[in-house]
Amino acid sequence: MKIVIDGKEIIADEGKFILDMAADSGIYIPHLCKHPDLEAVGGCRLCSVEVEGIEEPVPACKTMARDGMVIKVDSPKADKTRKMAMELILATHPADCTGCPKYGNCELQSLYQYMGVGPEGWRRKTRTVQTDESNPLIRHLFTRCIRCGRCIRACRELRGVKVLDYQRTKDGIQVGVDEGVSLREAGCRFCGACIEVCPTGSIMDAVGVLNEDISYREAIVPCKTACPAHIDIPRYIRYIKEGDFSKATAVIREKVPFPEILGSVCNHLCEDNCKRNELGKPISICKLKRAASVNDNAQWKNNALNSNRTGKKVGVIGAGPAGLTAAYYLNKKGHEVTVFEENEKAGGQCRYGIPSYRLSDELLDKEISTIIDEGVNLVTGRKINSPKELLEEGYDSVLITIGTHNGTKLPIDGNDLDGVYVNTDFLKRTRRGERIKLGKKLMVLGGGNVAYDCARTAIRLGVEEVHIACLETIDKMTAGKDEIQEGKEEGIILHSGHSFLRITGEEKVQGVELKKVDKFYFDENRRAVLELVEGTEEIVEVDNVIFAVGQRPYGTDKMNLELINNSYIKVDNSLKTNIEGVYAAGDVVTGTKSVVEAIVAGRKAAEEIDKYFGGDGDITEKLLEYEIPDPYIGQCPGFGDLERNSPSMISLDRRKSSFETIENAFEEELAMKEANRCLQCDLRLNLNNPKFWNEY
Amino acid sequence: MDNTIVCNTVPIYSEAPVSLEILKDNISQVIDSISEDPMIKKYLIVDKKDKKTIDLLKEQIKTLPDSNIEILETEVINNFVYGNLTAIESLIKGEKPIPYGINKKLPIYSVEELLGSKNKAVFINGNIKNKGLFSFNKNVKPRDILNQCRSDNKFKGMYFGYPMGTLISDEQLDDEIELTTDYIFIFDESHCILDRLVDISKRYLSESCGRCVFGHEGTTQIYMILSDIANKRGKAEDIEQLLDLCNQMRNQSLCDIGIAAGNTVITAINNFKEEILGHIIKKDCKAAVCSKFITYHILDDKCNGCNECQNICEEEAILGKKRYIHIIDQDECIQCGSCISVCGEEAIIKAGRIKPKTLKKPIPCKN
Repeated sequence: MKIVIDGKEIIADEGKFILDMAADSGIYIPHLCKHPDLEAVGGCRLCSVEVEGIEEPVPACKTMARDGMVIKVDSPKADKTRKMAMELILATHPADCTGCPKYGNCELQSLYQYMGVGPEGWRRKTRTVQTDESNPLIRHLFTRCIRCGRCIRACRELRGVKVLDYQRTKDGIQVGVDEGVSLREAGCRFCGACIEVCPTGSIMDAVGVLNEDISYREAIVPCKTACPAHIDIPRYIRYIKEGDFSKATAVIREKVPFPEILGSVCNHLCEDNCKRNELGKPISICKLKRAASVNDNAQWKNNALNSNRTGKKVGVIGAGPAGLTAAYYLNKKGHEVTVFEENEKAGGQCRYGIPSYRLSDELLDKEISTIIDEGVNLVTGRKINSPKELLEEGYDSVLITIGTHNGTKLPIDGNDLDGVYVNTDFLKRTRRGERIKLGKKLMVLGGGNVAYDCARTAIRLGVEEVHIACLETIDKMTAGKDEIQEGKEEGIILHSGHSFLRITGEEKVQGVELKKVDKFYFDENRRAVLELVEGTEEIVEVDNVIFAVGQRPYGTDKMNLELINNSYIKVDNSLKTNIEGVYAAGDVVTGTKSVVEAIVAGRKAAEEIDKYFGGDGDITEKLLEYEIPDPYIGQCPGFGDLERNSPSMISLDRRKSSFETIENAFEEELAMKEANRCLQCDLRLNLNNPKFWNEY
Repeated sequence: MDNTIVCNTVPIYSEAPVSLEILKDNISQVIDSISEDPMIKKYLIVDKKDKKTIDLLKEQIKTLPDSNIEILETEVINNFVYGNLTAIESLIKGEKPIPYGINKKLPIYSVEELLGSKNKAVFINGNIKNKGLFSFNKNVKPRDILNQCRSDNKFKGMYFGYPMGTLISDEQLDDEIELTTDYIFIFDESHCILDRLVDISKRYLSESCGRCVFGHEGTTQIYMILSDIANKRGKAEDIEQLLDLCNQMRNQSLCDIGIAAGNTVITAINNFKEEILGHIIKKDCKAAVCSKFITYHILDDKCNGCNECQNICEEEAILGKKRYIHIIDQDECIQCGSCISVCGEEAIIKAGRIKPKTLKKPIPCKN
């Protein structure tokens, strides 16, 4: 059919409103209460147009276009209606735009500037409403509300949450919650659709919720942004909620090849940034990853990336998470990859650094085998001393991912006494099944997760009294809160905020002298400054001491590579070392970091080496077709108060006496229940933004 | 709303519960009528607070086990919206009764319509002998209405409430109208049209739902402009602006509340322009009602110096003492009128533009 708008002929399909049809043809008609995702109401009349044969202007958003219609936007009559509507809105809207947080990004402001009208000539009266900052995540500044009803339609019709509505108050009609209760009490799901559709600065994210240093899209979904691998967290959580664990796994696997390992030991920065923290505790994102993985049917394999073989050979030194990840993707890009591991088994720090009660051999074997099964060669028990060896054997490129397996000791008296161990050594030997000779009492020095790994391993080895001493106070310790809590349950005696002066004893360890820390901080030169409390020295009698105060790479000095700080490999932005074709990634470059960061480093190394071979360096995998999530999330009474769920753990007795995995995976039902707590912040990004007039 | 019949009993005017009154007298007939209707879904809308009516209806429904009538108990915050089908539609969907469009004649009935009456019951208010419920033929001449309600005062105008929104003068008394409102107010010489219009516009403002600009912001402006005029702050261009605004409201409001509000003001201005304009141009309230335009005076030939007025005046605006002729200090007077109510001598009068001659300061009474 054909219609004419301001003399311009438009050919379009039937069944559309004038406003939408005009927009499709790039013709701008002012409008405000109409939002692309919401049903038209025709309340604001800013889209009034004249239609030939109809006496009075009609709202374009609600008037169906018909064949042969002659429409005038630019008509004195329609213009008069539109202008008066805008003037009336402005007459009760606060006059000063400059103090508004939406300034410069406000649809109302943009529109009245476009129309060139103001409220002069009308009686002016702002309907003052107290700003409400009492709700988590959402701020109400209803003095600026123009009652377009977009938030109400978004909440009721689009989302089905039905919390916001028109409210009659003694000061007039306002948007609000029935009975005047808080958003939480009303069952708000804090999806943020109301914020997203508000054309003015009336409903906004609470102060500090959005990180202003990053892009808007990134700030809206902070979990995904905080994840070093940028796993699409809300997307997989949603699949878990629906009980589709395989699709959830596919989403996770688009970014990381070790979902179950991460679901067990990730340091989950995502949870620290989860918006649900504002309502209580975050979603159990990490553990849900494991739940997805243990219930996976591997359908993701159908869509896995596959390339023609290139004939290029890559040697990877070190089969930790970084090396294996790089190998996995390089293989997908068609290169022949061999991973060399000096230990008898692959896994690196995941196997020899993290105790088996956190990551079992079965779990590691299972996830590593998916990589080997894809065609990656694994050579264990062979130590490669220098990348040259492999280059000479005919490898076209070498990647060094040997991590940091050299535990360090502090330069204090007694550090070489009999009975002193270092973290890496202690943990690796235990994992190998060696019986290390230990006395009845033991102290670990250090306040990170590795210190807890050592201490909790000691408990499982039968040590009767296990201490941890560290400089930091308990709230500043780098160990995770769960780790500290679980350690306490298992009987660890914590001396936080203590310095260790010396290890006592003649030949054998007899004790550790501790002294209370008054102040511990880093000065402007980033040097540690320690002030101790005089007269607080005490000796704790122990038979063994384990240093868990950091670890460094081992053997890099013999590789003929340029190093930083004596042992870390120096690389450029593309992870290239000073030797042509030789790359390095992971802890050996960055120092000890998390598993997920090692995976990210492995991906980056794969991209760079592929590019080195002349490839496109694109390792993106689309393991699952993107499905547009249902915007209608519906009602969930008490949503804001839903408590965080945790997977069950084995009994404390079993924990203390064996290396059995301490935590079970989430049961399916409980995982779905936990996933239901997700605010689904990403749904906001699926809303269409109305185009401003200058975008036509 | 297919296959649905709705009967609304919630009063459109709380002071004129026309449907409710008829319902109470005809409970069984009402239930029978709905029950016999061929529609599948049948709703009776009742004010949640009116437990008595609800109980009566429920009891009656019990006697017809297959009647399939649902009583929809609604929390009444606004009344006008219950006259709008789109609002009722929302209500049936479980939402608040907020209109999203203009009323169409669909199967929503008042009790009277449901019973098939050819008449329209209406509540009449004003300075009349028998205020209350009347019944007229739907098509009626205003003069017939006037004749029924017997007023001693000189007729000035007749206001037909929402959804008619019309204010006529004596010139239109013989033009037949279709009566659709529940509420009529009769003005006489003692009423100031502007003063009544301020009240009427306030009602429309408080009844507007807030969903559309011309309905809500329009009634807001009407009320502000009319109040300004009544408070001596009127401007010469106000009348034109009101007409301009109300014309847009008649065409651009989302529902009939904004339309009726616009129509009321337009008919009022058309029929009583001089009286309204007088407040702006001549600074005069002809009926001596708008307090900002009137002054109070003590007539020296009637005052007997009883001192009652001075005792009651909280503003200490009355000067004089016992056995002295009192005078009113116009700078202090707030036109509350309490002095008039205590004066036994009818010595205190209100004055519009023409002021009586009074003393400059109190002097002893002559007798």
